[in-house]
Amino acid sequence: MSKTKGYMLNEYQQMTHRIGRIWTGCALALTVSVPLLFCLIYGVTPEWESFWKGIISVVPMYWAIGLIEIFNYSPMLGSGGTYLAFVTGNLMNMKVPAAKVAMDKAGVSAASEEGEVLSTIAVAVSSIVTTLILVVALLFVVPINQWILSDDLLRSVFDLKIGYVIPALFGALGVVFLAKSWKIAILPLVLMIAVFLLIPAVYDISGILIPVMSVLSVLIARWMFNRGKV
Amino acid sequence: MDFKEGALLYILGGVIAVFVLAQSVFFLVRAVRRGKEIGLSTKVMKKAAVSSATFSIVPSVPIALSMIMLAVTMGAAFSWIRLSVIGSMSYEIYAAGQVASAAEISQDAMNTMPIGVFAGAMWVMTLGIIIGPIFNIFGLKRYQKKIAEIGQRNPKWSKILIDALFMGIIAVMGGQFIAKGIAAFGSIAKPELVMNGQAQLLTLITSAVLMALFGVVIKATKWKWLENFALPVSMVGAIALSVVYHGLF
Repeated sequence: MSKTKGYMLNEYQQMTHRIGRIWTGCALALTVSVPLLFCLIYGVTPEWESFWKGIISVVPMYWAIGLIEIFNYSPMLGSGGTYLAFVTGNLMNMKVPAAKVAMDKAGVSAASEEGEVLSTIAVAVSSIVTTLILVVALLFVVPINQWILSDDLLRSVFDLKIGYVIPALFGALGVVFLAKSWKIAILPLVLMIAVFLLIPAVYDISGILIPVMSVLSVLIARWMFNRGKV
Repeated sequence: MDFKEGALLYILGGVIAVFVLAQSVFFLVRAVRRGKEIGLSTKVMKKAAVSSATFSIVPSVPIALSMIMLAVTMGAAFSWIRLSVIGSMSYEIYAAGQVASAAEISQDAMNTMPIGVFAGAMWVMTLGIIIGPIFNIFGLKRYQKKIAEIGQRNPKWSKILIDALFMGIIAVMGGQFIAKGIAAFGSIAKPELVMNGQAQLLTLITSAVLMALFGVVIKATKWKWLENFALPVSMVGAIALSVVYHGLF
């Protein structure tokens, strides 16, 4: 047995952490190797301006959300399930409910060793199913993609910059968040509409506004939470 | 040179798919062995595996659908890679869109995305999603008990915090399309600034209405399985109608 901050781990759990770290390290290296090898083999450097704008509008929020997800989900997944689920992704919509269903059916809690085993089985099987379905889907996506790219209208419709995929994404996501937490949502949304209408030049720096608005939304949410309004 | 559909990305995608399968099988076999050691019956473990397999089929279909939406800009191979490892549907589309929007390129040039912009998008999509595994390598074992305490101490605030962080993204992205649409309809901004503004606003509204309809149907029928389809089907429906809107303006 070894002690980690007052938490006793048996031999199996010790080994799970060791193995989990090795597999996660390999997964991380593989993930990063994709853009790295692409740049090295094609002899290309990223276009830095759009890269940095992209980083500013993506990394601060998604790193914060990623850390909160670990706090929220790892107690439900156990250590084996956590290592595996955070490599294969799609936690909220798949891995967490799959593990929960498996443990509920057996009537065990996530904190028990039986729960740890069943959660790992559920996450592993779920990952295998998704990976296989995506391989099959790829066979269909390639010809569909070629068809879309061969048509001028469809190409502009699916364009991520001036097309309609991003408005469709945010229309659907927006209505969910407005329905769920309209009190937090309304002020930042109205503020942004006003800013974009009054200062159109802001369109060019909209990515930089995202972390600013996220901080503002968190402050509004905390203020309301402390007063019991949300 | 079609770098997006070159052999390199397909080979890397294949390696990653094999890796994910190998890791999953390894953890599965290890968990089954441990289950036997601690006295879990084969029947219970088999039941967990079968229920997880059947449960995972339905949510995998929308992920495959989102591959189509992402593939037009990022190519089929890289979209497949991103959705196979660590990825999530809405994150990947948003992250790729942020780099595409930040790149100062014309509509025509966008159809053949410059390789440097594509490389930048690959990096942003990859770096934005890797915090979970990084934390797991360095902090999961050390802080496992603390994590459980924090997660359980205030679960309500954790959920509100995630919503609030997302709200920052939604306020800027949604607000931008609403303002662009209003400005385009009212002709109060330079046309080049609000290109496709009317049709984009109508697409956003259509997607929101479809999503709300899904919400009403799920609530009325209690068909929880529909939840997984709500986002991609609302998006596909709105994108299909955007073809009509695009022709109107």
